[in-house]
Amino acid sequence: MQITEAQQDGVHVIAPSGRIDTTTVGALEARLVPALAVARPRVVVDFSGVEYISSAGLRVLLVAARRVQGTGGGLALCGMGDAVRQVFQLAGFLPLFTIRDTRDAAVKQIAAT
Amino acid sequence: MTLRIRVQPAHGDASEHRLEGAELIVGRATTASIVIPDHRVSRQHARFLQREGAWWVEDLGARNRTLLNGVPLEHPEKLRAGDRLQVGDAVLRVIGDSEAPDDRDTGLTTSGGDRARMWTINEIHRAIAGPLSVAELLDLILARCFDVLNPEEGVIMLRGPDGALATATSRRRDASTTPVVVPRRLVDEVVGKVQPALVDDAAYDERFAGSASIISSGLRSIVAAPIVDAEGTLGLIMLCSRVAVRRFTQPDLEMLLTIASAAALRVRNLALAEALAARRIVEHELEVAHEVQMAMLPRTMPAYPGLTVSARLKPAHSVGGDLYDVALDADRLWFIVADVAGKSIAAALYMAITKALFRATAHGTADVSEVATRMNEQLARDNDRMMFVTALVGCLDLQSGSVSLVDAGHNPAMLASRDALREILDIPKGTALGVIEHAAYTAARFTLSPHDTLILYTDGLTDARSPDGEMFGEDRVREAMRAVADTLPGSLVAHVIAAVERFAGAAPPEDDLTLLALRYAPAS
Repeated sequence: MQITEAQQDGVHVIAPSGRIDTTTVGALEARLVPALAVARPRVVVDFSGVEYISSAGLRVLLVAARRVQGTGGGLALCGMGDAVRQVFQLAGFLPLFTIRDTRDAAVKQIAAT
Repeated sequence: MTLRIRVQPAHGDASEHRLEGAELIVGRATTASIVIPDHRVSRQHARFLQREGAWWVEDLGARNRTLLNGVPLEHPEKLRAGDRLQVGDAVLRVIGDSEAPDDRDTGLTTSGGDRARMWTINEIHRAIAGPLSVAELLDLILARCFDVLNPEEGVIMLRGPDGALATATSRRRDASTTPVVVPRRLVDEVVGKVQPALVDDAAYDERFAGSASIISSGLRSIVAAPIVDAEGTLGLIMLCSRVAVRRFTQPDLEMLLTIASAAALRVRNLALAEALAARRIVEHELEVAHEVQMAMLPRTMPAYPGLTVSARLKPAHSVGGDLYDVALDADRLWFIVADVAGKSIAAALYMAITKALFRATAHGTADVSEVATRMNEQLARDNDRMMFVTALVGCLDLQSGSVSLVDAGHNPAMLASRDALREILDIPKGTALGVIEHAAYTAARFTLSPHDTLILYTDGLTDARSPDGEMFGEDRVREAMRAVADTLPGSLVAHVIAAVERFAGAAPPEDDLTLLALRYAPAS
């Protein structure tokens, strides 16, 4: 798995690619933790390069969502392909996240928080 | 009377020691005067002591008692030239002054100067071959540096797993516990540039001009060497004295360099071996956890007229988080197939809690949605790590054949009927258990016909991968189920698992896979 990071309109965009599973999820967590450790974290996770996410990956995103709660910041997900979206759907997690189709839409949403 | 002791260890070269002072300890401990790095030697094995002009030997309660001329030592015995002591597998021979030292060892004997130095190097090399930990090895090296180079303070720093240098061991002549500080500039010089340093007078050496930490502690003579091997710098060893007490020289530096290169050789190997041993312990604990986990699965399926249940959990090699359970409660059959997020000890514990909660809530007049709601409440409480478990929780009424089923974020339930297979679509999607404390769950209800087989499974089936990385996937899972849709649960489970195994081939399973099939034909 590779992870790229970018700042866009004051929003920290993290874009993993490949498979997010038990063996690679630590790398994603290592990027999320500092991104969320600021006063008002504004974070977008872009899934356009992700082909698979396991439940271990979902857990890390749940932790991130919980951490953002009450900070005045925000977390959004974007760029989900069908396979990734289905994993969220099966777990019943689609309603728990702010999800946009494109990175721009997600950044716009979070920049406004 | 002066005596010498010639030590012949089980492996390696012999060495000689002159008996001096009031007493000398023989043992495996690096603090012993005569160190024998052999696991059959106790840390403090025996003692030589001088009383009224004679030398005595005493066993210090060693596990393998010291033998004097083949006889176990019960109490202190006076030593005579020619005596033979056995300490572990090492043989110690007592030599009187009249005897000439062994030819091979003429350079390695007794006190002072070059000979003591060569002896020290020899001893370090022998110790290195022995069964020592990294910490013991470093303690021994530093202790011997004190014997030969006579510093006031000394320190060995090693890189940690993160690459940062930290003090591995330090020592002071005055036995105070004040930490020995290595000046930042010296670290840069020795580790950064991989160069030894001989600083005759730190206050005036331009490299340390302005280094307050040195000047404030008085004029110092420092000798330092990098601990380096072919793969890089492991750390440094530094010895230090006030100039008024001891000035280090070029031969001292050469001695230290020899010691440092001997240390480097072994430190890397030992560190690797210790990391491997630590990993083995963790792996063993995971295996035990896994066995405990497997023991939690039902060993036999409940028997009831017209009921056929079959289930299989095929574990991945690590501790997994899959679970199934089946419990007969009067005329109701409770069942669950669940999958905890991740594969870890935490996941295994969470799975055990899930099973206990299922058993505690799924009985009596409870409704399935109530069972899921109560399990979720407990699992979600104080769940800062956001562990979660996806589950299908169901109850079959054995009077009517009606099933209530809750979907808490799990893979769909399937219904096989004769040659057809369909997904049970009308189960409201609930969130995985443990995520939202006050989530509500709604059950779907349907009736099993006598030829229907209800099939529950975990994502270990869909996510199984072939050796070239392709996933088995939802379509292949359904295809495999459809192919055996009209068979009884036992055969259905076996065939579907076999289909996944064929696809995965030699690829090691990444996740547990679980399959449960249930058929009920009420006796009419």
